[in-house]
Amino acid sequence: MGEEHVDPAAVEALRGGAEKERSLPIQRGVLPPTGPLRLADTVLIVVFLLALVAPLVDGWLRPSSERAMLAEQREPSAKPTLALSTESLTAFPKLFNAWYGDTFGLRDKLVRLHNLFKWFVLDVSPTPTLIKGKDDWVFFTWYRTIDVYRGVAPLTPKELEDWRRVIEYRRDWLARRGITYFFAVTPVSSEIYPEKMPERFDRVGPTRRDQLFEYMAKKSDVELVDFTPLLKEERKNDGGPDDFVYYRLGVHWTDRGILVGYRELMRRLQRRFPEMQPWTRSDFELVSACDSGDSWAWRLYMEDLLPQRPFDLAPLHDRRASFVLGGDVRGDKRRYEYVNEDASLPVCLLVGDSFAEPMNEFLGENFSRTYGYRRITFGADLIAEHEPDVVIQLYNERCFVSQDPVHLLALAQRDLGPIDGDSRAAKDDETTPDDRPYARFEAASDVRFALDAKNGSMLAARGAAKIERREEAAHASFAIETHGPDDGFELPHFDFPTAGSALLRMDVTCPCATTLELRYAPRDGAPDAEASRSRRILLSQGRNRLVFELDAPEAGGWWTLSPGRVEGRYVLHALEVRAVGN
Amino acid sequence: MVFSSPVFLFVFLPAVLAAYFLFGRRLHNFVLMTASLLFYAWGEPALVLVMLLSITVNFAFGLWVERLAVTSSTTGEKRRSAIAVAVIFNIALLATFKYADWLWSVASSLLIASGAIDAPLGLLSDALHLSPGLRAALCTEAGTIRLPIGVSFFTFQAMSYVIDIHRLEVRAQRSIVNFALYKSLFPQLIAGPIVRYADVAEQLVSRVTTAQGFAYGVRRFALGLGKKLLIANTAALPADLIFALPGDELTAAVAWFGVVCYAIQLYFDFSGYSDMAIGLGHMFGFRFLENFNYPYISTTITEYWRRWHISLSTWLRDYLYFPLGGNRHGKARTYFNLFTVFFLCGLWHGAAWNFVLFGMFHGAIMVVERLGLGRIVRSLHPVLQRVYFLPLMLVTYAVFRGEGLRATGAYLTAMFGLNADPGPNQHVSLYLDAAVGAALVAGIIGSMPWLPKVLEWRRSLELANERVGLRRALDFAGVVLVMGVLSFAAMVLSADTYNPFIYFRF
Repeated sequence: MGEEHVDPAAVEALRGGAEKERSLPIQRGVLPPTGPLRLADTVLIVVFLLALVAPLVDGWLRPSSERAMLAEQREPSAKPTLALSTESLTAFPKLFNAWYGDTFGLRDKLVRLHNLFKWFVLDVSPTPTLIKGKDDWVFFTWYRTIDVYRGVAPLTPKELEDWRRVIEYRRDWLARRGITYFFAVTPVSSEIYPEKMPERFDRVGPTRRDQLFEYMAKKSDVELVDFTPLLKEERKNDGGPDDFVYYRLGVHWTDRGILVGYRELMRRLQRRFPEMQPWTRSDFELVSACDSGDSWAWRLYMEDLLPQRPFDLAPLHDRRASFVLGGDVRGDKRRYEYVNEDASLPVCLLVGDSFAEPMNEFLGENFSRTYGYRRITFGADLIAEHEPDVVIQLYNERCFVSQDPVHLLALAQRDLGPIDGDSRAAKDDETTPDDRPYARFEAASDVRFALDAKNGSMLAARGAAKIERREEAAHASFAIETHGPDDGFELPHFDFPTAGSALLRMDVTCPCATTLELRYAPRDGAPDAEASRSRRILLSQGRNRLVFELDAPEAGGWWTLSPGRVEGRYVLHALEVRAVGN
Repeated sequence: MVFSSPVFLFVFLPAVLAAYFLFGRRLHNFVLMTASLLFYAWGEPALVLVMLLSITVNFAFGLWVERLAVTSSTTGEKRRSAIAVAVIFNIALLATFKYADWLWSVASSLLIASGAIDAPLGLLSDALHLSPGLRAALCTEAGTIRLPIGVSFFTFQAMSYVIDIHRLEVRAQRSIVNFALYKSLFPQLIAGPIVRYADVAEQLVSRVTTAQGFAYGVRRFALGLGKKLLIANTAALPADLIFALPGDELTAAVAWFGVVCYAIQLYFDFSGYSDMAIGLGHMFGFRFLENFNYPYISTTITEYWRRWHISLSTWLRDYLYFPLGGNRHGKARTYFNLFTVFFLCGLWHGAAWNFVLFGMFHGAIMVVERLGLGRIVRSLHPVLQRVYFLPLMLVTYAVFRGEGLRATGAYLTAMFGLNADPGPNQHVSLYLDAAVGAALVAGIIGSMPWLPKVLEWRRSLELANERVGLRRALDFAGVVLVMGVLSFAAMVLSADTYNPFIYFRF
């Protein structure tokens, strides 16, 4: 390289460049910030800075329990920890965004304000999950519900044939074993109350349900159950506000709708079981529900402004069936079991979706045992375990979008086996112990806690709850009066198993259907010991005898039971914890 | 990280503002640079290394090119070689991350068409046999090369920097912190505007943050956030649904409605980000050039490009059109240059044939307008001018937004009413509820320059020292408007995190 000399012309040009920089028009905005400071500017800056830190302040001042996402019915994303590893560093921002998005201060207030504005000012649903209909009705949008309602998402001929094949396969497999099978479909609420849908959702073709029922009528001899005409008939009996066959602010059918479905199922079952005595409308009294029922208002943070006062059917006679088992609310194996005093009655297996669950309670009256499962299919193992006389599959018509008949047929062929195969052999040869929770409870001898008159006085009321001891014939029971969702009672300390799991048996009478929440703290030294955890269990109105398993060996701290959001008087007849699998 | 997120608004921004104003001026640039790199790394934890590479290499290029430029013994060829190396490096960086997969698939298609191969080439990342670590850092789960956020913006900024030094228009930055801050300054990092070094060189070393400037920044930021969250995101809902429809179901009305929604979404999203960038810049004493000037009141496509994404169109003019010869070599060459520039402008927007077609479409219209159509249009009544411009712009937007050429063709067919039998399935009211209607009305009003006129009127009152009470009322109405928009935006941000678990009770 030769000697380098600075070029004066170039330097001059650069100076010119620098001059040019200074003379560039640096602001062509519409609001140039010039002139003296205005009072409004000062106010704006102060308010803006306060707004930026307001969530932080709220996070400090308001306890997290008050800001909890109760209405969204999910746990917030976990708070991430940062470690000095590539994986942790790269994953941290996403995890932090999720956690902060779920927990920042004022979040609940802002979400509520957003929802209020959309609902009351813009007259639209605050969430894409729903459509706001006329007269404050809501309609679900998942699973292309609106497209199906409008008739613009029909089943293809192949899909119709696939559905026929899977339904016939199940029917034939069960029929070969002497089991009666029904495939029942509930409509979406917009089918029963189409006048409540916004007019822009016009109907241009048949729904998938219409299509399948018409196809099956022509091509198959399977007995399908469509509740739609009966529900349309029943809606003529709608009384006053919120006395409908579907919840106005929810998506499910009310007790009146369920009773219609129950009676139709029983009518068909009576052909095989003529001795069955189904309950009729006159066996019930229409009473105001003690909660708002299936309502999105709470989930939208607007329960106070969007009241729903539905009606329940309260039986005028004592129920013969007892609710003995309720699954974990979020568990994959969500299961129900009703036991009837009359053991001579047949056995029913009800497999379905959220519309089927409340049907268990009605069917339980006419069967010696009613087993309910929330599943899309069933296998030979379930049949062998329960030995049902009747299998009912009951789904909302959304199943024609959410379920793939090709997949269902593959599952049926795999889990049921060939139609002519011998499935009962499995039951006959069965040597494994009964693994049902109540059976395991009876078999377990390691009692860790049993409520009695002595330790019952050590139940500690939580929140505004009041506990009162009641004398019953054989043993003590306790009435618990609650006034809010946080009310409940804490158990005296007991020695929780450090390995295996615990089975909790509970006998409780509820004033209405509710959700029991069990909150527990891990024992000292357990991972994340400072955080409390919870499990939720559905309870029916009336007496519930249930057993459920808590597979949480770290649980060794306090236990608190809250009967639910519904205030009222609960009676605790028995509560016992036994350890298994130690 | 994006501006429209709770983490940015309620954690990052207050923390950076606090750090910036608590530390002395000497540390201002360091604080902002650190914050900017954290801002980038938050969204691109691995690809922040690409940003750091670009900073380091272009910093060195700047010093090298300047040294050659001011040294009299350096030949012109050597200078040109230096700038060529710098430009090629930046284009290669952009091509690698933005266009490599697309070019690979184009090559695959061509090879299949020519009969050279029977099956597609597969993924480029597979062909390169990347190590697992490199693959994890550079590729998505699907195996495509990840696109570093804002790579088009920061690469163009880097090119303008070294080219301006080569042209002796600016001096190279000698502080790596200042240069890194220029390249990574978080307000403009992910969505522009493309800030040229010359425009901020002085501000990097000496800038003043005033209360008026800060208040102005708050106004611009809040209005930008509102444009993005309240208008653009709402208009996006029907636009996304309609562009996803099967082409044979589209009626002309639905197709036009969809593209109108998209036009509102695109403008308010992009200009909203630019407003937020300009506003945030002002909070820290930076003044960026405007990027939009009410493009939808244009009368021709030529005028549109003087009002739309100004930092890009001026960049292309100064660093592509002029070097190609501009209009100095006769009409034919001018038209060729125009077409070439807009072809590349389209490609800048993304690696897809739709963007190429969009650019070519605009280039062709610009040529035709230059041939005389523009003069004819400008002689028409203002209403007729819009009757020419707006539908034409919307047709090109349909190309821009289309999901592939086949779907775009179907969409355009529907727009022109040529769908044989769209059937009764789709109609506009399905997509038009009160929220969408309100956003569209706000979008149409906000696309017109009434706000500057109100403010100019207020300023004229101030200059004339008239109607003090009215001015104060206007000022406080402005505060209420800004905070109202900010509050609504915060509500929408929170609602985005709202995600109820549905199957609880039943």
